[in-house]
Amino acid sequence: MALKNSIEEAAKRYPNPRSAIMPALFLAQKEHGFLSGDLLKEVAGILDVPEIWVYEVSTFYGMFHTEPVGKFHIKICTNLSCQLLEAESLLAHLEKSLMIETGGTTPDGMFTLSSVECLGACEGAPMMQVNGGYFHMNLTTARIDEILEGLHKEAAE
Amino acid sequence: MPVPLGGPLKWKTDSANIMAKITIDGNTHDVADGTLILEVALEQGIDIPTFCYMARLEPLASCRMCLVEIEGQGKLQPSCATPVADGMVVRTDTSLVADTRQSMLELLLANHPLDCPVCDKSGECELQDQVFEYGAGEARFHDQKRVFYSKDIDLNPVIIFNAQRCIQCQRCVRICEEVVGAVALGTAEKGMDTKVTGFENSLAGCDHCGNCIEVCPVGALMSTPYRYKARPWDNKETDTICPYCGTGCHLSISVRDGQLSRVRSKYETGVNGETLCVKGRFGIDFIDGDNRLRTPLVRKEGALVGVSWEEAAAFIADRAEGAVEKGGLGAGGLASPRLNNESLYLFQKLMRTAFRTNSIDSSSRFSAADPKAYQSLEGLFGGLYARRSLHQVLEADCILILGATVTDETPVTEYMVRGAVRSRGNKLFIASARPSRLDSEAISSLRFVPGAEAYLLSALLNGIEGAGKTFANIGALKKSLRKAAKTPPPEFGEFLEKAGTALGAASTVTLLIGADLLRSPGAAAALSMARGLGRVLEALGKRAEVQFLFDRPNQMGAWELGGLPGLLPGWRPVGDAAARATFEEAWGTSLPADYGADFRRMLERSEAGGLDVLYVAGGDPLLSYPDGNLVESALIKTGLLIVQDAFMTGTAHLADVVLPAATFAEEAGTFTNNEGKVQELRPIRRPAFESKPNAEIFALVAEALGRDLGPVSADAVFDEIARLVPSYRGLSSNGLGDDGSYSRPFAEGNGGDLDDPPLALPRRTKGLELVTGDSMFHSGYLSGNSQILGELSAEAYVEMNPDDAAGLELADGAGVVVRSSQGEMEARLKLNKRFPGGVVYVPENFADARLNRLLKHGEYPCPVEVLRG
Amino acid sequence: MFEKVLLKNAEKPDVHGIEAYEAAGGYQALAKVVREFSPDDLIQLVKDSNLKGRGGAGFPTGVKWGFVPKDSDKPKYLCCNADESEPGTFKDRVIMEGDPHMMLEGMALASYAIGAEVAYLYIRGEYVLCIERLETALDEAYGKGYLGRDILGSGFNLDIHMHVGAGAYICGEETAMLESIEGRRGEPKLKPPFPAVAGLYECPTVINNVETLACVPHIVTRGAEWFRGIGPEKSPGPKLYCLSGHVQKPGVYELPMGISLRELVDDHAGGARPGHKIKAVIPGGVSAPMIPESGLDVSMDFESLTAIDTMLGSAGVIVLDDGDCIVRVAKNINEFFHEESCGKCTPCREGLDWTDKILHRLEAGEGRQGDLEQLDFLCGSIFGNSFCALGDGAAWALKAAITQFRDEFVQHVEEGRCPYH
Repeated sequence: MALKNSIEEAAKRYPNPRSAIMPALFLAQKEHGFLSGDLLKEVAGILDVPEIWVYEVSTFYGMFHTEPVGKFHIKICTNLSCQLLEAESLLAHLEKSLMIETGGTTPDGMFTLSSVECLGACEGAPMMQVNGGYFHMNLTTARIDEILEGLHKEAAE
Repeated sequence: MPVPLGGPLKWKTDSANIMAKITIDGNTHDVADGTLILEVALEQGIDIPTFCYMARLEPLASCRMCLVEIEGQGKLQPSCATPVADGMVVRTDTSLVADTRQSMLELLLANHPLDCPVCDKSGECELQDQVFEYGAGEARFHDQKRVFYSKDIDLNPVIIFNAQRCIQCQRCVRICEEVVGAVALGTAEKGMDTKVTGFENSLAGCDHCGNCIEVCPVGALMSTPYRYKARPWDNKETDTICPYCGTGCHLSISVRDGQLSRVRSKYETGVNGETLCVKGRFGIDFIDGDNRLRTPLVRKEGALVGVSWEEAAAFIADRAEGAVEKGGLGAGGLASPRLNNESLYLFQKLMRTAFRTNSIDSSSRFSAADPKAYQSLEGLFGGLYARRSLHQVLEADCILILGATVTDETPVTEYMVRGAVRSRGNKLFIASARPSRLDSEAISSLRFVPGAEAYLLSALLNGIEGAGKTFANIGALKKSLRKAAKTPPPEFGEFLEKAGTALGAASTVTLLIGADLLRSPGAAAALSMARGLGRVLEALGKRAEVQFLFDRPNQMGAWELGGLPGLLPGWRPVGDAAARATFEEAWGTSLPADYGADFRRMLERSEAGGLDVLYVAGGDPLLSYPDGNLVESALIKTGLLIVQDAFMTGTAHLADVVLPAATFAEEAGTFTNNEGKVQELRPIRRPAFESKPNAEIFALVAEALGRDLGPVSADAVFDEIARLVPSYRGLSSNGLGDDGSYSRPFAEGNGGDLDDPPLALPRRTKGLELVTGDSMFHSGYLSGNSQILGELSAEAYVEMNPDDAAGLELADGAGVVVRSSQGEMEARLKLNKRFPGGVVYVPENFADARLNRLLKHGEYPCPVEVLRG
Repeated sequence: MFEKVLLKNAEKPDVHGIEAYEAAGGYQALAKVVREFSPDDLIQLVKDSNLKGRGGAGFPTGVKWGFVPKDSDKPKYLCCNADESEPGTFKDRVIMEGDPHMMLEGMALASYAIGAEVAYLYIRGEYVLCIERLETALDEAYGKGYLGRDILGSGFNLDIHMHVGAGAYICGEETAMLESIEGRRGEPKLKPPFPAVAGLYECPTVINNVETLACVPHIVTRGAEWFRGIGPEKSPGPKLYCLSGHVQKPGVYELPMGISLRELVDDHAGGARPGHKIKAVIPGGVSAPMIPESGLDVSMDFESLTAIDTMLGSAGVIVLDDGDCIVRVAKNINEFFHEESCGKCTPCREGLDWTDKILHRLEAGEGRQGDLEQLDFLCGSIFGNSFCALGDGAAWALKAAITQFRDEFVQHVEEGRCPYH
């Protein structure tokens, strides 16, 4: 019900319901963690649009996840400026620390590790973002360890 | 694949008056401003390769095969999406263009699997063709090819998909959205992961029309029934006409080694172009249905036994003698509107000359039994009926669809309406009982149950500006019309207002009338008011045209060729001595002059013990006619029940003689479609087992009764029709052409006086009202014999609005009982949020459900209760 | 020392609230325009200023506004392209985080000029802090009557809605952005019709970049002549340059248009890292062909860079030095385009996948004879034949890398390894 209301509210900003698909998916993903097939159908039903339109959008855009993601989604930039500043070795460090490969999720569902394209913070390369948080810039392995420790603590609470 | 211009596929009209000069490959031409460069090239016979382009679809310009050089422009431009500008100089024959085509093909081949030996499309693959024509001889890509899935995906029972082969032309997605309107296919992911698919890799909920398969240039989307069956060169292809509905789509039926292999349609001909619906594309396998009759049968000691044709004929001769002597009242004939023109003509000739009766009917599914309804029909078929291309008729400023669920009953017509409205912006209005996908294209769409059409039309007339002044001159549209419909119900209000305004502003109006309107007892009044609407619009200086959207392939032919109790071929009353004389001379015998009974009266007569012979040629009234119990009883009481059909129907089970007939695919002949166009049927094979063409059987029966029915070859019969029936005058059996030929209005008549318009809406029941008709997957008992259609839609269902269901505490999929005052049936509930409240729908065709036992003649819709099963 | 215009507020911490913005003179341009200017006056002013779009294409802004038909009764739309995703570019982020009201005021002015009553701010979803600051800024602006109905009593109405992007670089392409706002896959559309005539919802639409819009209030308050006087007359104005990569002081630099690239990199951004020399500089985001060290004296403006077959683009300046393997750089850039391709057209979708595979092999030491020739062929097939600038840009950049540093590529093939790693 809450989701339906918030989607309908968002839809008011546009002259047709299809335009509200993206904001609707953000709202749905925020509530449920990821966009399952049933959730996509629900969104399509609320907006009264063909299901395939919702499906297309959910798979086209990188920030929509149709599979579960970890509680903490670590997204480290490996684009040019960050690459030049050794992002690749930091990525390797993260893989080692979390014991997963890039793209994977830890068995306990806590961490997902992704390499992402430029996040527009090149002056602070190398950098990463956790979930929808503020950017962590000017990373070093030490700084990464600090951040991971903080996340582990947060998970424990 | 080049698509021809100007024919049925040219949706968009030109901004015709402004011209532009274009020089293409050295030759200069004058073309209409706005023409695409590609269109000019095709017209001039210049080959430009394309994948994503299709004339009927919005240009995409994504495959980049059609790139050409334009003088003054730095980059090559896509000719499929670039309109001609005056003075443009284009070259399609330079080495740069050739290199580019080669490069694009090499890029497509990089990841395209080399599946040709195992791919169904091989031999008719556009990628193969283009590579052969324009490609390099060698592939330089030696890296790992992209793989989506290791096995082909069953998107649904009839569509199977190999994602690797897809070249992303998006024709399938676009045809599904722009033409069919189903919006089931889409594109997931992006970049190299892009793949065309249905929701969660399934097309379980789509129309299953297979148009996506038809337009796929490669072997990505494939037909499951056709899988691995044949190579294109193995197929022997015959062009004919679809037997399902009145749209009259062209079919190309392929046979391999005598077996049906697949059905497609050709881009170049037919009202349908390259599109078909699920019934036409996948439902033709009914010709090989398990229920095919193999030999004649006669009833001996209570059971039907196989006999020879001679014995069957002798049986009829013996049993029918008495009836023939008694004359007209003792016999009756019911013909199916699926029979071709020649068979229908011979049937009524047989009934009139051999059985000596005018009791002939061909519209058993409708309640429009009132002779006055036929008068109105006559009026509509006379002046107002547009016997021309539906494409042209859809160019009208304002289109009103009445009493039709176009999406289910005539799907390809629906595609055309959608195309016309989207490309031209003309105003569409729909008034029908059931929702359809065209509702979203309409300015206003009204849900209302059959019976109220006359009232609606009269209210509509009142709303057209200036119309009132014309009433005085049009019989029956007098002051009473002003009294009528003064306060239409509020739910009609918006529709009436918008439609009235649009009709008033339009210069051209088209009225499309559906089968559902013909079912109701108010049909006569509705048809009369339709005539009235036409005449008012004409009086206001507009052009008004009508076409029916019959859900049977030859209803028009049936009515026009004497398949009605009181009318000789050509709509001439049997009481008209001059008309009778024409046929008496042609047929060499006197003809009965009495009006004759319609099917209702035949049944009543039989029930009362007075029908000696009933000849049912095609059709299954036991399944389809209201008052199922009466039908059953009356059929049993008939003295001699002759059933001629390709299939062992329920009616045939009650027969005394069963005569196995050819299907539409096994005999020559013609159909007259909703456009009034006469199109040729061509047999794909000989009649199966011991069945015979319908015409030959009629001749055999005539002979048994001592009459010579005359020549029975399709050509000869058609030529006779052309001689004797005014609407077919001028046509000849070998001059119909690939695209068929139009019949003409038989007279400029206007059908006589109009009825007084109704002053009030018919009273409605407080409970639920049942409507019926074809569904997307089924049309009469014919589709039930298709294994594929049977798989796609296996059993009857009850469609209802979720709020109504909630009120009855019934959930989607629940087993329910539908009960009327006459009977009851069981089925599963199917909820549809677009369905109007107070109405339920059960498809007409399922033999097991025997819906017709719930229905009562003269009452439609049918008041019912729906209860937990 | 160049007087900061665009970063004047943004450079200071906590000046993003409306009180601070107003105290610094903010929204006075809007007040002036709605009271004293007609929309045509404003269009003329911006035309006179020679302001060119700072999103990448460099199209004259006033001229673009002028394309909106006056006689159309369809609603007009202004879209602000805040999808900043070009690698090496972060100037819009800095503006939105540091001075969101300046951008909103620019949006309001642009909307006024074209007669739009609804504007969409298309902002990339990863810019979380920007989104927060803009949400607050919008509330504040509405609260003070700078947005909404009857703005400052003028009768001008404007609603600004944020449409949050969900991770697709291609949505920075203007027609793809419109598709995205309409709830579709972000695939570019055919032009013509151009957005100014039939854009969002088939209505006249103008799309402007954040930095472009941020210039407008200043043009109003200080005049077209003032703006034209900064940098070269043909493409004037203050410009934000984003410096990153192997340079000592990465960051956003506000300097006049037309400054020399060498001056920018060496004098302002600290030059190469210690012990290294600059090998090449990418001047305008990764679609822009890299300029070898010998070419660094070029002027950073639209025309000068176009003249040497590269572009100012998004002014994302990425510095490469002699420790950087160009093949690896090319692979990284190509990977980006390959990842972000929308998949619509053949050359970009299929071609970039092929180049991606070759470049990966080259860098991994698995290069084969013929690979370079294939890369040459692929660059040639993709460039000029793609549906939009993404494919073209990828091919352009790759071709330049190979042209400028072919020997590195050859070395990878012949030695079967990357000499740098």
